[in-house]
Amino acid sequence: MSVMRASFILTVAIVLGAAAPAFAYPQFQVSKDQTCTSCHITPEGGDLLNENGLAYAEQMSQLGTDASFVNGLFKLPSWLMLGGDFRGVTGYSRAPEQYLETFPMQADLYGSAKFLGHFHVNVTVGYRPPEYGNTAATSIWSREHFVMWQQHADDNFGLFARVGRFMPIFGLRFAEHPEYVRQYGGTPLYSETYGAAVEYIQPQWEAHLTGFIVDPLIDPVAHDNGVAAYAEMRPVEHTAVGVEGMVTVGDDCSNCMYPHNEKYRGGVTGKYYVPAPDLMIEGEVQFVNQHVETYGTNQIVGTIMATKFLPAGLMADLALNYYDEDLRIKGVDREAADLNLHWFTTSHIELLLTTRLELVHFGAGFGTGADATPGSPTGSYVLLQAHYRL
Amino acid sequence: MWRFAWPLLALVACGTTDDDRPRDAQYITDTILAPMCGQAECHSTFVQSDGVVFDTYEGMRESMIAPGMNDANPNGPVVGPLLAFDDSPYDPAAPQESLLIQILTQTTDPNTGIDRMPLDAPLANADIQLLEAWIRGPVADDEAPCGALLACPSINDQCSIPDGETTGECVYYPQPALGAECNPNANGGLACNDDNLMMCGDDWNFGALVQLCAGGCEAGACL
Repeated sequence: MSVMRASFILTVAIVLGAAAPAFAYPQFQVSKDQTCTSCHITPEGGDLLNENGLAYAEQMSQLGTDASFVNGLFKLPSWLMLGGDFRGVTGYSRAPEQYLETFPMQADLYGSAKFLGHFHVNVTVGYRPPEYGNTAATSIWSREHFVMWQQHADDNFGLFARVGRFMPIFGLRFAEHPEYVRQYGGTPLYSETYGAAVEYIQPQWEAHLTGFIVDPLIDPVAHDNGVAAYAEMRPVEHTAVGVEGMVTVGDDCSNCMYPHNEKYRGGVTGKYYVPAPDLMIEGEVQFVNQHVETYGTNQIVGTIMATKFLPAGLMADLALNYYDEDLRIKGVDREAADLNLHWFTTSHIELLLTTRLELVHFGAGFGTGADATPGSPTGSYVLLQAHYRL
Repeated sequence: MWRFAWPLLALVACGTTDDDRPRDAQYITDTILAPMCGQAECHSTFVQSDGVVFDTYEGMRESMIAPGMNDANPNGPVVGPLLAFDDSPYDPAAPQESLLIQILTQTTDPNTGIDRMPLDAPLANADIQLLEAWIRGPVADDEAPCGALLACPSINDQCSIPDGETTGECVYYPQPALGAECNPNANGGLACNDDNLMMCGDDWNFGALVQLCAGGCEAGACL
């Protein structure tokens, strides 16, 4: 195997990694509790769990161990919370080249300090792919750091305001970043950036408004300034309906023929939990209008996922993804079906099997001229992930 | 119920067969290359896997005409330029022979030392054909109107604006050979095209003739 081939295997490993920085599991919202802040300390979910979240982690896992920081080995002061996520993966992919791969995926430490009753400082520090030409200084990076004010010091509801570096709240925040509504839906991997958010959360509804800018400190992943809004209503128990909008203006080019690259996103989300079969169904669809100066492109991106909660700490997801990069043009759509099996063995350890079959234009084939390969699947993987929550 | 889901989605995927998208570098970058190839872990400005950047227009242009790096083996063969043709100059008449199109379309064991890209799933055929058309140059778009805010749709066209006017028409102008890269941000925008000292346009093509160098031209200056 050539060194160059090894390099690309590493690249595909990162591409296919089922979840880099862990977000929340939106599968748990309205099935286990009403809001993200019911279990997490920040409105975006993910990262650190509050007492209720720790209780759910213990209850959901097969062995039901102590879910607190390092299994309760250290007693932290009440104003301080610490945690972390570590993930590694091994598996097989075929696209159509075949790879066997094993690689670390995430190593993040979280800290949250509460001060003056209503304020928190949240910092996430961990590994990420280093910046080109600046490897030594950027392999370890603070993906998120922000100051948060919350109206009620000891409550999970009410008004929140945040300033700093974080991911805007927009749509379903699946942990698996290859889900199309994340990959193509405005919240791709590592696109956290600086911004300010105002958020209001009640059990029956919540609303989030975030303004953000291109990261001024490091080569950005998202080259846009913009505004994102997300609102969700929960009119009855186990049901949520959301609307979303995002406007971004590209800021990636000082020497372009066209100075503007604008994107307008609008979409809806839905979450519905059926208690009897213990089944969660959730989905998101976005319509996107992109303007590269005079030419407008209309796109659609959507993901629908059904989640079945099983005994012994098991949870199974079946997801269908769809993305059409230009609705006017035939053959530029792609589809992916995902089947994931989570096994929460202890409250700190999760094993996750992720599989995907991805097609372009429903498997219409690939290639041009003599190299065309009609009707073949165009991408697939089976990956086993180990996740340890500190 | 799932068996009904994809056929329903298929109804959405019914676009037209006429691909009238602009054969334009920035359009292709922003709508195809950036979302499909310029993801954070790959050819982003941030990571620049193998020195190739696809998430910005300028990075894309540079990656097309300049040699990339070899992350795995700094002393090994470089990647690209993506518009190279087996060490011969850029040939818009044969886009399928370019390294870019070869990497995107190869389905057998490649002789490039690079696996098919993107690694997780290929580009749509229509997108590859658009890239080929962009490289080939739009003869049909020759004489299309253009101006300060309306660029010519092809890498091989440049806007010819008469003196005193604000708009003009696209004129077919073959991309220079790779050894004669034209960078408007370097050397005061001056570059050599054979024995001609020329001003580089904002579209990175040669623009106005500055001087005919009797003794030859090299490194953006008359000898």
